[in-house]
Amino acid sequence: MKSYLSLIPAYAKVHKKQNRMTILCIILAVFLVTAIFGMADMEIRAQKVNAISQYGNWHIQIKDLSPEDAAVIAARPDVAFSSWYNVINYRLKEDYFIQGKRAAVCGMEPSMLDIMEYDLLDGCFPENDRQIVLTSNARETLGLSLGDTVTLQTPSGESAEFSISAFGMDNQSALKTDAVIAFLPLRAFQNLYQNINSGSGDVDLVYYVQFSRHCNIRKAITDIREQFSLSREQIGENTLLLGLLGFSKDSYMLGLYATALVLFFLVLTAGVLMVASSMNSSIAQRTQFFGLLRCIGAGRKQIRRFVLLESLNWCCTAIPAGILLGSAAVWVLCAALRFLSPRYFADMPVLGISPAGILCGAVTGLCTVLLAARSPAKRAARVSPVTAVSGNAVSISGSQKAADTSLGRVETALGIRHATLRKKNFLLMSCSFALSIILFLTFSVSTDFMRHAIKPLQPYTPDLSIASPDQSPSVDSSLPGKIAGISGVKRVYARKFAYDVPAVIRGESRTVMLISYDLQQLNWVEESQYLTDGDLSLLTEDANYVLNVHYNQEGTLETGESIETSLGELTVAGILSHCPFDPLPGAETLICSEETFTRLTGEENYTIVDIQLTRQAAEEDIRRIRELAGDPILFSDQRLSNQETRGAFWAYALFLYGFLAVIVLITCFHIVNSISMSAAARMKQYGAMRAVGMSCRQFTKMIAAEALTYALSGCLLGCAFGLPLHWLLYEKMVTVRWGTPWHFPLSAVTLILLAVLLAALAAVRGPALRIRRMSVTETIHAE
Amino acid sequence: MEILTVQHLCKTYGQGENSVQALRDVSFTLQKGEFAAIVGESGSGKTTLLNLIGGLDEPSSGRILLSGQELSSMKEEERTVFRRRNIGFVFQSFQLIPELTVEQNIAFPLLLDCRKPDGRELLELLNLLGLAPRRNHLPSQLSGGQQQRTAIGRALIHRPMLILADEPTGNLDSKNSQEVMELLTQAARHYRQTILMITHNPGLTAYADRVLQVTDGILTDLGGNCNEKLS
Repeated sequence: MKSYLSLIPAYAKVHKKQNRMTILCIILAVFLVTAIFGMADMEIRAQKVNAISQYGNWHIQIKDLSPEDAAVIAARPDVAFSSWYNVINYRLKEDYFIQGKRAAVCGMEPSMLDIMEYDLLDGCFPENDRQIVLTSNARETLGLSLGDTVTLQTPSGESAEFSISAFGMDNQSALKTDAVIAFLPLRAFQNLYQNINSGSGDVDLVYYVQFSRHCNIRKAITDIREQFSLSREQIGENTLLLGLLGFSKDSYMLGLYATALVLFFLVLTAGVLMVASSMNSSIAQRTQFFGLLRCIGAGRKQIRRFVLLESLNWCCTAIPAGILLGSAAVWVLCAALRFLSPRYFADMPVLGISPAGILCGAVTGLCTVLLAARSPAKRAARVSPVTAVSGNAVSISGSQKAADTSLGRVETALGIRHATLRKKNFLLMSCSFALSIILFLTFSVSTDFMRHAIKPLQPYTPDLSIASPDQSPSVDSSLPGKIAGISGVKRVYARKFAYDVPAVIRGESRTVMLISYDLQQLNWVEESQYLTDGDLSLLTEDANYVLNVHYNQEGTLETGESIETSLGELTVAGILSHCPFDPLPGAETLICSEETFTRLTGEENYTIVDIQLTRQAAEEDIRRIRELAGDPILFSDQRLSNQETRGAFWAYALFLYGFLAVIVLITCFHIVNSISMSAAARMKQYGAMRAVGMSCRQFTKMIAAEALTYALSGCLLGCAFGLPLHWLLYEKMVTVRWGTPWHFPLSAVTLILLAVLLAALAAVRGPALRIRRMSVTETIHAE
Repeated sequence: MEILTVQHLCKTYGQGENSVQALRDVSFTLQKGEFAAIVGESGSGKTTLLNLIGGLDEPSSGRILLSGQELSSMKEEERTVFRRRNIGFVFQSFQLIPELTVEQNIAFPLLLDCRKPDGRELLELLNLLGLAPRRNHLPSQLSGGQQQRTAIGRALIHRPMLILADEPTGNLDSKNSQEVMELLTQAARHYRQTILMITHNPGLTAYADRVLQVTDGILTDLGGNCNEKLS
């Protein structure tokens, strides 16, 4: 032994079992921090992938910028890419056509491809003004290939011919609307614009800028604004991306940053409290040992140093283990994300290492242990040397008030007293339980945020839609049956529409939109519980029953009411809370069965046929469906947009529910561990109680009473602080943006309180078993 | 009337080469109201014997009968209840429950049995122990002697047929030791209880009716008190 501190590893070797629980606590704290920060890191990465694919990888756009100023900006060292850019017919509402297909036309410089992270799949960017890039769907649907000449027709009747220099990635809005996106070099775009506008004026190009990776974007934006005297209106920011990069000044994003900061401190405090309470218990168990050290001649400072070094010694095993566990949790989530949305999250690393998560885990682990060790170290240093020589000083010190045995059984009274005996310990335990509840409640706000921000795919969302171009029932009624026979098709369902049907509702002349649902769609209505009132089975009867849709819980019709229409009298069989179509202004939306629709209108054909595909569906299957549909139809391919929606939803949901699962898991572990440690600290006393005649059942009740005292006080404290915090975060994250008022989070509160209470009860099992197996004599005579 | 019968009691710790025979073929009986002291050197097997008789440990072989009932044939829970009702323990380090007052500590075995202590009897015992003025004090507020008297009170409250005391004066000064011993003998006579006490102090055997010596796990009955034999 070189110094008295060499006693630490020797002591640890002998008291492996005793130290195991404290080490487990540190592991849990590090795991919590690593997993949460790792997940947050991965979530930000996933959201960045999402944001870039949706809006492009640009940071700012500048309007009304002179070419000279643009050249100066492009030359800045902190600018990675910049390009002029604009789009004609962005919303695909105007009559721009390429080979008869509706088209949007983008004008840009080649660097815009980098900014938008847009890949050319075949060919290269136009080298002259007569060349064009088209989205890949043009190749499929129009049978085009590289070098072919296409004609671009404008609404003014002008036309221009271009040869195809490349095919680029598909665009979700193009696929959804069966349109083509064309990319022109800047000069060709400007010429086109001038031709359309008969040579009057230049096109309003916007200058897009992507800053280099490691620059301070906020500072660069301010710098550019000041240098070129740009107004606030001239500079537009990619708020979502800048927000994810941590550079947004948007007030909403700043609110989200504040929320993240609150959560960061909550996680940190949870870690500190967890480690502190376990270390306190560990010190309490070893008062006699520290007394002995003091007796032999160790100074207070030396004892403090001993405890601090001992805790650092624990860190050597606990921190790497916690980091590994936390990283494993992140890996599981990343793998799940790739599995659920393989195409969308192809860029996510399989074994994603989150340096931020690991660093946070290690630093906070170390800091929490050092912080948490301060108080026990002081406590250990205060131990009187007398403690070592008097056998029972450990067990009888500290009690100031007797247990109240008059109210209930002695074991229950003792359990409650054990919990409340040491005020500091009681507060620490209650606080750490409460903090888990607070953490859960605050994180659960994010689920509300998610439900508002990202709409998950509904069961009826199609992958492909075949619609009549003029919204008339002109899609052949035999088409769904034919498509259903193609491999790769999971479901086919169709609808007929009758628009602007004159009707008299409550004496008022109105119009209705009548839609037919087949059996599949009626099943979804039932499964998804969209029917808020009435009887769905009436729709299949031979009478003119309809369902009325109350959008946003507002509607005029009630169940049982009759409507006079030009098609006949209709009776409302029920009310739907939701339907996939937007309402027509001033018209009531009514849904009936296919039979009723045909009986009323005489129409057999469909307006729209929706198709859901299996995972195995190949491009060949899509081509066959398109061929079957024939012309003229509107063929909408929503696979890409569905994938993006699904990807965004899974990215958020997985990480969010991952956070919550980790918090619940940690809460349960922590409760079990705390109760176990508390019981372990009293083992000698329990031995005496057993000798005197306390039965194992009475022990179980006593420990249960102790555990439930901690749990109940933790629950009360957790709800007292967690609910106001939930309200505050809800206001900041949801109410401010969507206006939804705060509601009592009943399910979240029930779930976490149940988890805490069940974990507290489950925690009793371990110590109860240990007491059952304990050797009374050894325990009583143990030093 | 025989209260305790020990027959061919053996206790071995460990197995094979590492085994240690703590008790070897120990047999003896104790009569109702008898006060016996066990003497012997450290590690001779005294505490092991006491623990086995108290049902805190299980013998390797042999039988222990308490008022005709065999302890080793009982199940764990049954043995606990039997111990709670029929055996009183006094430990060297008192082993009081720090969260209970003197009165609650004394009444503890009754409370465990869901019985309400008789106020008159409790007061009588507190007076006998000289603890009436301290009845509402916590163990931390008592002297060593008072703590041990409380522990004795706990062993007496339910009138057990046998009191087992493991060096009850080991942590006390001579004055307190004398008080505790007088209290034990007084209680044994007053309530006609059988006491089996371990002691290192040869002087204390004078209080006992009989002295048993344990040497290397073998018990020898020394008959009357140790001092008499020696003299």
